[in-house]
Amino acid sequence: MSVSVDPTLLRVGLFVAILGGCLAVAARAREHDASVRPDGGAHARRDLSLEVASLKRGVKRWLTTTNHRDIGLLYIAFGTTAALWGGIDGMMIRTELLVPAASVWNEPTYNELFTAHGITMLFFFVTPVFFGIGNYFLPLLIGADDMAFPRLNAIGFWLLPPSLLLARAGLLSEVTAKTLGFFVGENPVVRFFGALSEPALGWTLYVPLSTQMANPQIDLLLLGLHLSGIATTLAAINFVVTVVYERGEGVTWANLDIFSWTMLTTSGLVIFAFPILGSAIVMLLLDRNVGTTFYAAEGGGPLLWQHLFWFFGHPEVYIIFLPAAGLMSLILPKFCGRKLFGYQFVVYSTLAIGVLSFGVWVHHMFMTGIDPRIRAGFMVTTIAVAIPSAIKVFNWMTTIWDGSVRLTAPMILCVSAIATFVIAGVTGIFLASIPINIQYNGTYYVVGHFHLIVMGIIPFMMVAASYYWYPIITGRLFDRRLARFQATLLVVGSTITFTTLVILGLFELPRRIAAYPAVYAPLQQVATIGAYLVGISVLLWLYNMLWSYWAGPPVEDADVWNLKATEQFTREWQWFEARLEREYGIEPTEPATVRPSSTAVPGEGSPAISTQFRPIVSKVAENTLVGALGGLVGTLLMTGVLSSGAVIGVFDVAAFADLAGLIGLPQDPLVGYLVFLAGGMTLWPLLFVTIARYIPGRTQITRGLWFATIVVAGFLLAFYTGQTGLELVGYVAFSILGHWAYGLGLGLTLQYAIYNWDVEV
Amino acid sequence: MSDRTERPATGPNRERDGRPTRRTDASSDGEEPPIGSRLFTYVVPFVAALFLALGIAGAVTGSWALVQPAIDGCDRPAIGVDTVEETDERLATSTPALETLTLDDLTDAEQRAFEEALEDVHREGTVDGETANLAAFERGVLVSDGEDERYVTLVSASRCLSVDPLVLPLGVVSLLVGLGGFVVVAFLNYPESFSPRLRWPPR
Repeated sequence: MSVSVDPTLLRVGLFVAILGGCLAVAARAREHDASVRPDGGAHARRDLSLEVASLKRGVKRWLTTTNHRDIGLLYIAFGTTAALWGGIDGMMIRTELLVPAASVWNEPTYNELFTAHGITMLFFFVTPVFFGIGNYFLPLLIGADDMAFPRLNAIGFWLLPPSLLLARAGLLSEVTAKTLGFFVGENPVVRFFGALSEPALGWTLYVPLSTQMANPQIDLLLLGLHLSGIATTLAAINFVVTVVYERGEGVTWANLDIFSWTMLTTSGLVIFAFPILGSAIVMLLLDRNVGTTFYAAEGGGPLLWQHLFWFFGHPEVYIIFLPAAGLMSLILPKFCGRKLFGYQFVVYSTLAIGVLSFGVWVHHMFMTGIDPRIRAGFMVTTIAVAIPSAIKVFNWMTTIWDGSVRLTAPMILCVSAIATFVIAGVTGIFLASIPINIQYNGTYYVVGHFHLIVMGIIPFMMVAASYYWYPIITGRLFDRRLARFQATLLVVGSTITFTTLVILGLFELPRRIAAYPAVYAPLQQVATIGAYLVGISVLLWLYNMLWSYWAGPPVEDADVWNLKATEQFTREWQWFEARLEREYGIEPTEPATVRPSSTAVPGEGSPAISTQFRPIVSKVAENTLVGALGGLVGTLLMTGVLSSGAVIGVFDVAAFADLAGLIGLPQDPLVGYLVFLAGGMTLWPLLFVTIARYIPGRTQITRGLWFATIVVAGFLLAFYTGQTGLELVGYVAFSILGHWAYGLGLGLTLQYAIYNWDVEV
Repeated sequence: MSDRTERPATGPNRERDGRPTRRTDASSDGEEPPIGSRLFTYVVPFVAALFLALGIAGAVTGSWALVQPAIDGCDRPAIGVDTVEETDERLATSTPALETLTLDDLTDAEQRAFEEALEDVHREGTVDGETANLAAFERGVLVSDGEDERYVTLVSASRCLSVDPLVLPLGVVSLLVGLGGFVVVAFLNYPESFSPRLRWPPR
């Protein structure tokens, strides 16, 4: 009898293998945890008992708990499980793409994989994990005893497992059918389970495909999504009420921590966005099963689904992004020794994102032939939403500025997340432009762009939070060295994978297709290796979390991150400290020195721009003027060299005319030269004074020469007029000499200004 | 005036208010590894992870290319068959002329797949045997059983994976090198986890 092994079995097998590995790590860690205390005693060992009575107690406790911290942990465990499940789908997608032909799996399986990957990650991984973190820490951060509605909280969580099972029932059903079929052969029971298979629609469930596909699993998926929407909305209502009504003494809107602000905003978005999805799903179910025509061409039309879906879908992007931004704003300052810079502006930007997120959905539909005037409006709002995001980035960077940075694992992730978020944001700005969107919408560029967000900041911040608060949750420390490596590997793997996808998109490789031309194979393989690095880093994180839970060094004082030294020992840590003292008799500790995290003293606390406004403005003006003078001297010297080149015939002044034409001025060499002179006095000197301190050399003269040498490459390309042979050699030589003359003039002038005019560059 | 508050210790590990100094520092590694901290925290594990990732790619594709045909994991194309109503709708709206095949034009395996698709919830059937009309299915074709016509198309070509024979051994070697790298890192960074006989340097 021939045995057909389907990728579905592999998916479940891998999942079971990872869960089995987790149990093995836990068992081994428990055996290993025989650490002896200095007083000769032993640390209390965690319970990993398999006795029936103990298991019953455990099951009863976890099934009936309404404690916010327990429910938080349940959410986190659920979300992590979903992440592993969706992650396996992602790894299988990348494995298929190792080879150009659709031959590792097959085309339908590939379609199922990217559908399941998207749905699992977006609906069942990200939001539950953030709601878990919120459940555990938000009440502690705001001084509340628990969430406002503890039972509703439990109901909100317990609706999620069945919704995941409904959404992914196709895989479980297929595996059941194949397993039964292997043992008992073909029969009605096997056919019953075989009737379901994973939908191959894409996570956007676009009609008419989703109304026409016969697969009954699509209906279960829709019910599952509906249920998860109800669960998410219940949790969101709870968060809103908790923040509004349950804040402790001294916690006001003006000093509410940023994570709570972002959870509040995210919850607001959920309350407005998820009912739209729910309604859209009900209409789709009715179209599929009752014969209504909400999305039929003769009824509401297929575009109605896209409008409703993306009216939910784009806020969903911010629903999953804002808590990550909140964690960044909360964790980053702790490892800079500074208070978050521009607290108010970060709050306002969070609220602005919340509002604007409902006004950009049509940018997902630029290809649908919507009226160009409407599209233009949405292009503007899409570009506008970049502003509050940029405000956050600038505030994070300013918080780091001149801070006492400690490169712990959470900080590595914070700093890297800023970088990947910036790349993601910049690639997104291009997509907001209608012509570029039309060119790149169907390509890997979009996949790279949004993965740089959903991978580049969201899981980074989840992992950072897991390390940052691990001692509070477990009472133990994780392996810090492994954590730093894991954080670095996660960053490197993600960057390799998703920037490669952006490049593949720039080469216009279509997305959502299992097969591709062989010329793209090397880049696809690089992306896959990057993805495997991400997979390895995730397993290392899981190992560290589990191993340290049983075998990590127990915490002996609550200030594990030395937060008291900068007066950043926030409420959740104070709660932890009180708990350690109450339950284990561990006395609170004090650091050797203490300073505030917000102060005007340079090098300590947040930079106080407002008090430094006049000196900064006068310094900028001084640098600009001296730079302009240096640029003038340098450009005149350069002009002399280029004129010599023009006389002997290796440099063509017509290139100046092209420069004028490039910026819309009359194509005249004299006009072009004036533009060139203006650039030499403004753009390049300003760039030089900005980066001079990072250029090698003791004096401005040496640095000026280095700077000119670096920028000559751009000039060679921009002013090239078709020289060949010796003419080309002469053109290159005179260009380099001309730049050295420029660098010399610029550097000399600045050096003179430093010595004689007391200018600080 | 500086904001910094100096708190001189009043005794060993005690502060002025009687509170002890910090005992747990999550920012540090605890015991430093015996050789080059950064080398064994970042560089060696990263190279090992890279070898591991390359090894996974090579070993998975190399071994799957051997196993896949042996377990009927490929070379079994699937066809999708529309209902008569869907076919009529398609013919009413699409302009290109479609080729028509009769059931007799199909091979036995194709006929079985066609009939399987008629019974299947997903309207799909697997061609388990000789295929003569794969190109026609790929283009989309009408199949007539004498009474009705149904639109049939290729759902999956089910190609077999083909990779260079060297991929598997190179992948396995890379996998072993990667695992070896991690073992070396674990051995040097966590000597306490190994038995006394295996510890280096011996104590």
